[in-house]
Amino acid sequence: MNKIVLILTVFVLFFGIHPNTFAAVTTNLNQAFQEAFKDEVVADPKSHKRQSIYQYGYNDREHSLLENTKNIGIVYGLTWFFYPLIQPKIFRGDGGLKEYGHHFGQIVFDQDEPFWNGFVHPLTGSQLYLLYRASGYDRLAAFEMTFISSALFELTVEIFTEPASIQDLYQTPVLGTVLGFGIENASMYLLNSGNTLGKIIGHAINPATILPIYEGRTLIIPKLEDADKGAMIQWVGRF
Amino acid sequence: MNIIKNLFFIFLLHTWPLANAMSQEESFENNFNIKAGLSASRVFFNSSLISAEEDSSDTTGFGIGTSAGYKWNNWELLVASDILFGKLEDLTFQVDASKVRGDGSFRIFSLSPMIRYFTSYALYNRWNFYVAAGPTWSLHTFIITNDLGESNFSSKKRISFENRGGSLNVGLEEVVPFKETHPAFFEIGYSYMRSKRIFVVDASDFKDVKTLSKGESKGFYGHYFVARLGITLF
Repeated sequence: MNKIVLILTVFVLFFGIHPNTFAAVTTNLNQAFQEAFKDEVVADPKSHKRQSIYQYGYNDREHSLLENTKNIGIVYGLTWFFYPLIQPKIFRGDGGLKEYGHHFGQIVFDQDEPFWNGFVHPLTGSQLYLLYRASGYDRLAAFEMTFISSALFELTVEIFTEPASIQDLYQTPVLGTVLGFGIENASMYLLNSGNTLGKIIGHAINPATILPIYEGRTLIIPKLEDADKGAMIQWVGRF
Repeated sequence: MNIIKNLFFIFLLHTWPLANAMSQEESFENNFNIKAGLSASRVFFNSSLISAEEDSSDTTGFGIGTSAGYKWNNWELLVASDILFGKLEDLTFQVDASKVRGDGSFRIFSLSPMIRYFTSYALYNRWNFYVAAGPTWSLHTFIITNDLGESNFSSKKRISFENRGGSLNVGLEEVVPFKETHPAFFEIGYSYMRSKRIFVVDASDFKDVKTLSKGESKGFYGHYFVARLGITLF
């Protein structure tokens, strides 16, 4: 449960959202929700099918080594800050610096139940993957960034309480990416369906699409007059 | 020495992907790939811990296989994993001084760094033949749910073996021009493992599994044949 809380916290605070206060985070998220659902219902007059004004996708772009390092550093820094807060036993003598020194450099098989290794870790890995996808990384690069972020957490932060585990090192990024790939495709289909329920479910399974870092939202304004038929496309960025 | 070795491993773990994080994903060669698929296996367990006839069992397992690799022209370096689940039938273990025998279930997690070689042979000019091999590290966990006899073992406890071994795989991969077309693969593998350590753990609280005892063990060994069917995701 602590790992879920940690990942969710990192997820919400990951780049873009004002980091100073939780009030600012809440306000920004409210605005993001309003922005995500403000488009009116538009239906094709011939087919009577709903059409989405906003198109959702991913704009893959190059990131510099400096940008990669900065993004990883932000996630890594947040895990250092929040992990001790959600694992108070670090301060109660069950973990802490003594355990940290003992666990540092150890890599073991953990004995965790499938709920953790087969569900929680892949789920958190998938959301980390989608977070990097939302900020413009292509699929491979998002996998690589997920791999680095989860390995850094596993090898240098989580060892306050337990040694790094072989299963977590592999399954969080790899199964997370496999799951994230599926969620990515399902959410894009739902978000572009134009259906309100589809949009709600699409955003719910891929919440990175409502964060300000998301770079793949496009506003399409159709122009149906014969003299000036076409569409105006506008990339919608919120920074 | 162990810490230095692991720190070097951590360094390698991070520098390579970071340097490649700007890679072009459509490229098939000189690039990373992720593969995933479903697997079915026939698993054979043997335990020399008990000098009785009921010391072996064979059963069927199902699960998923994944891999993350880097492919050059014909060669590929990858880390592959199998996660298998199945029912357990009539296997006996010795836990401390007691015999534990019964039916239940098992799960296997295996991790294997491998080298894969794509030959120039292709079936119908469409399916490329390949071989792959490498050492394996695996964890076999057994849950026994009945006939616990006089032992103080319970269905909330698990016996797990940490194993070392190796695997050999042959397969066919679809020849396609672009990775985005998600080429399919089919492979058959053989994996052998022998135990190095045994653990008895208490999973009464699934949030906090406690290790009750652990020790060296070379008395458990097993092997499985596995068929995997999957695709290259990207």
